[in-house]
Amino acid sequence: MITLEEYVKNWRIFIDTCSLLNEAASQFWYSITPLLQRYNAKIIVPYRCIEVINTKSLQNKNIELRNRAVGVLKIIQVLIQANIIDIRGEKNDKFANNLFLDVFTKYRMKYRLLLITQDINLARTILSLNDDQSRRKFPVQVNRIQHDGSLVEFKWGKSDKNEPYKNQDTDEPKFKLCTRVTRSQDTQLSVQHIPEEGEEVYVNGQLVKLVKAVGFGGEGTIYSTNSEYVAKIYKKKNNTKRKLEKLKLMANIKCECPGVCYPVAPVQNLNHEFVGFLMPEAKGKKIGEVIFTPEIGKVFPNWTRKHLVQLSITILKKIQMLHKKNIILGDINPANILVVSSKEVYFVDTDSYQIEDYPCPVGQEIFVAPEIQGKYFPDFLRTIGNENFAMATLLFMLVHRGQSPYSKKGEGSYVDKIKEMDFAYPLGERTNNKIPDGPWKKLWSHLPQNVKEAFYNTFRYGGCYSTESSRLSVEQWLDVFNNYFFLLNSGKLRQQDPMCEDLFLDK
Amino acid sequence: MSANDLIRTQDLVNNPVPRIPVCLCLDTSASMMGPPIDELNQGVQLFFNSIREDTVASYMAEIGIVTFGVNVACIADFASLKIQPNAPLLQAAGMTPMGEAINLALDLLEARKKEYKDKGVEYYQPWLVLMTDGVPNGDPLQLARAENRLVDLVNEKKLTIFPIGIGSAADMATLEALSPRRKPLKLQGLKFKDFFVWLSQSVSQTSQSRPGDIVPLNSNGITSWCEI
Repeated sequence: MITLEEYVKNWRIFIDTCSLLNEAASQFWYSITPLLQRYNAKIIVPYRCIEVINTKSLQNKNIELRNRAVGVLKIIQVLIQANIIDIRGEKNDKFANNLFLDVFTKYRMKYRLLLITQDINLARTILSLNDDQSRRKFPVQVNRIQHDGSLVEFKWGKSDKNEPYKNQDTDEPKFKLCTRVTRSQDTQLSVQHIPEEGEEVYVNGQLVKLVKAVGFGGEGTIYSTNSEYVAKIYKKKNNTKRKLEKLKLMANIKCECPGVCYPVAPVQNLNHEFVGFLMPEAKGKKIGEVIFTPEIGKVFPNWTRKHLVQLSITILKKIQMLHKKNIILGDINPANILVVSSKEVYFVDTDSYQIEDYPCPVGQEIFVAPEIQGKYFPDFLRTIGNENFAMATLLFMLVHRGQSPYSKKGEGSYVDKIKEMDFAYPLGERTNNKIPDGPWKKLWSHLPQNVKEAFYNTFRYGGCYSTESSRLSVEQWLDVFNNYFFLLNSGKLRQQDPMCEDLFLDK
Repeated sequence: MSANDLIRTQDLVNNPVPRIPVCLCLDTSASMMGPPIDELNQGVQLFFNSIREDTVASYMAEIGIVTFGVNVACIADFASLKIQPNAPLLQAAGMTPMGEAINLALDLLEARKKEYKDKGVEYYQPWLVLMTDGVPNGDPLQLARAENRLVDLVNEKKLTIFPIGIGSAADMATLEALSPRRKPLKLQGLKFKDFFVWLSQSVSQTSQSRPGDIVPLNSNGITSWCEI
């Protein structure tokens, strides 16, 4: 495998439109920029690609694509100024695909060439140049950007060269998507004995010892064990039939997402009665305690908004992994996410996740979408649209260090405010006197325009992302936040707005 | 605006955590003199300390104190523990003008709620802790007004009241009339500390939820201080 550094040092690198538009492109630029600067190298972008992105940024059919294109154009501006990319070619060039083929055919005698694209057909075409293995020519390479921003070679199965490349992400086992709640009743199972500290339990037929109680919650107690995992032992009333069935289902489909404390196996007492489950141990402190209170200034004294944006991305990526498995978290809230650093978080209380037809039985009202306000959680299945509201609320709170999107001056409960969707924060010239006193108005005003637009259109009645079906998905939010992070990290935003990183605009 | 007001305002608006105003309306009449007032003082200080131990609760709770004895007075107005870290010392003397005290407590709660709304601060409906060891002997009209106000607020779910009787002379019938939904409870001996630890646990439990969520009152541990 060729490292990124080797590519930068010894290869000519080209990038295609679809990779520029890829959701992880910001992360790719973030990792390759220092190398390009070190070796004084540039990535070549055909003029034609810029033109295509420009067209996409002006159309109105697909708002999401338009916003992404606008963001990408901004990044391209920064990259040009930083001497990191080189735009080659002219207006009346052929389609980029033909252009790449021409260029690669011609110059592979002279240079080692790498194309970055997400397009499998283009990859196949370019790689077929390698069939001509004359000595005078270098082999060409084609890579794509992965979801974490790193590059990977296109690969086909060895047995059949024509086997199309499969995205690994989609190959993983997934849960079914359901629309009706299970008929399985939430009845309490009979349990003669709830195991305690120092006692033994069964996990998949093996004895495991509950070493020490390390946490106490409303539903039960967490114990360290003599295995690599911790055990959550429920109180008697929480050992229900539904819970057991759901945990068995969860344990059957693994979720190896680091930081998600996902059930590994059900736990039984010595009478072989269900009493809880085993899971990886969490670290850190609740977001609700150290990020959403003024405590943030003490616990993370050096944090700026960049850290909050990075923390948001870290959280979004975990949600993305779960959504890819068709898991709906349901009860997204600041007590269920623990933070160690902006790059290290832990998701806890995963046994409440909505899995197939087993609902998430709990929720905090401020994260509950207007269309399902007041509904009884154990009786229905949440949709991805419902979930996207909770996720957007969390993101708003993350970049406003705890202020919630619908808090505003005047009468009415928070639930009423959610239902009214009278979002107080303005876009453009609109003024509104309902924003809470304090630093919140300023914190909002220092967000980049496209971030404001995303929130505004989500929370404002009539906004283009304001309904169950139109709310931004985790991928779309990742786009928005990756762009935001890139602008902060490159120093570009600071040039325009020296206060863009301040968290305490209260002086 | 005075420097003090400025600090209070900053404290109010820079903290995004929803507030829960807790008003302690305490009988400091002459009959509380001696061990009762000492135990009560220690209990209230313990309440402050216990809240402080829970990070979220400490940013959420705003404790105000109204006493009734020689006069009716607000000896601590609603503020966070950051700017009001210690409980003021209570002294026992005088009569039991309970109606006047309740009216003052409700006025202060109303004023604080108005501040929350004017500034856009989320809040939970307030809690009122009413403690007495005797029979109210202030203006009966004031007491009647207090009763009407309390009953209305509780029925509209705009207030949670904790009426607590101390000792054998406490007028439990009046306390009952003031509390339409919750029976008054009698403190076991002088177990003020147990009561206030329980109360701070109840605040912590509330901090696990958000305004609007239905918070089940902490029925665990109630027997540690309550006479049955």
